[in-house]
Amino acid sequence: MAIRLPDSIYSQNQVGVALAELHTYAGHLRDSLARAKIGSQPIDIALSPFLDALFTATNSDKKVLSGVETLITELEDLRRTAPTVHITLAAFPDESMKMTITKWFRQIHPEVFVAFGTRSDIVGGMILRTSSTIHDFSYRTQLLSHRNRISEILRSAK
Amino acid sequence: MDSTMITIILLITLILISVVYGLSLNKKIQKLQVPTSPREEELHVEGSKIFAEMDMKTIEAFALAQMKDATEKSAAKLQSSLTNIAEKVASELSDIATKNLDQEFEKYRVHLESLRSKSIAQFDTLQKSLNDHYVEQVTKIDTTLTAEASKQIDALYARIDDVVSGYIIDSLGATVDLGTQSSVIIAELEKHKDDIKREIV
Repeated sequence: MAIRLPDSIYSQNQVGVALAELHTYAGHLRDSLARAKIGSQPIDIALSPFLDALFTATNSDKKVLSGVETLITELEDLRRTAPTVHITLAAFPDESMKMTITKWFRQIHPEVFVAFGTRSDIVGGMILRTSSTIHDFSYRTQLLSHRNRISEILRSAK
Repeated sequence: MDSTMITIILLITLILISVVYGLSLNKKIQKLQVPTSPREEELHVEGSKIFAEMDMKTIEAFALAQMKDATEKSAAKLQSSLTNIAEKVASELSDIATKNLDQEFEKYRVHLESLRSKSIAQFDTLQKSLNDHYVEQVTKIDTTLTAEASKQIDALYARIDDVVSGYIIDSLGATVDLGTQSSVIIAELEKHKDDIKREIV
């Protein structure tokens, strides 16, 4: 069964960063286990809040090497297979907004990644691109596609 | 024409009668002048010559008087008849002329009336044709002007659309507030949820 990512991890890049950190963490765990076998004091490793949240969200035991390795394997599989949607906004969104949008998408597909981009000329709204389709919900497009409404209003105001 | 001919024939007949009457009188006179018996010649020879000559003169005078009287009467009658005839002829000629002229005038009047009716009909047709053509041209021009005006107005409004929408885009582009847009974005996603789900899953 695939793991469920927290909404704070929404992009493949974040998963890449998490994997890099997990590999480092797994190395430290192996080192600690080896040190424990020879009676040496293990090195305390501080996890980043990002990785800590990942362990919490995936219900993985961060002290068990096999669990960490399984998490690494699952994350690599997820990064390779999970679909990605690209969202372009008029300004760069804050984390709260990113999480809100990611949460909405994960109601549809729990493993989906969301890549955020910006284009100030779209004025507002967003452009959504999936693997096969582009949905333009931008204000600019809506305004331009309904610009005759301006003249209709002007005409009706005569 | 018939009464005129009859009058002329009557006049000629009267003249002929006058001539015949004059000739008969002339014969009577000649008879009176010729001696008819030897006895009278004897009287002439024997001394009654004066009486005979006197008789001849009397007879001649009488005949002449008779002839003159007849001629005067005939002349008076002829004069009267000629006067009547002339008046009748003048009257007839006047009637004929009047009648002919009336007929001719009537013909001309009818002909002119016909021409007038035809002319009026042709003018009516021409007027109707001109009116139809005028209405057609006015309608065509009106349609063209309306279409052109509508085209120009549409172009103006399209330009206004471009200007206003461009102004709005330029104005809002610099002041984006995603915080106020998040609910709109989520609502838009909800609206197209089925399509998005189909594409992702």
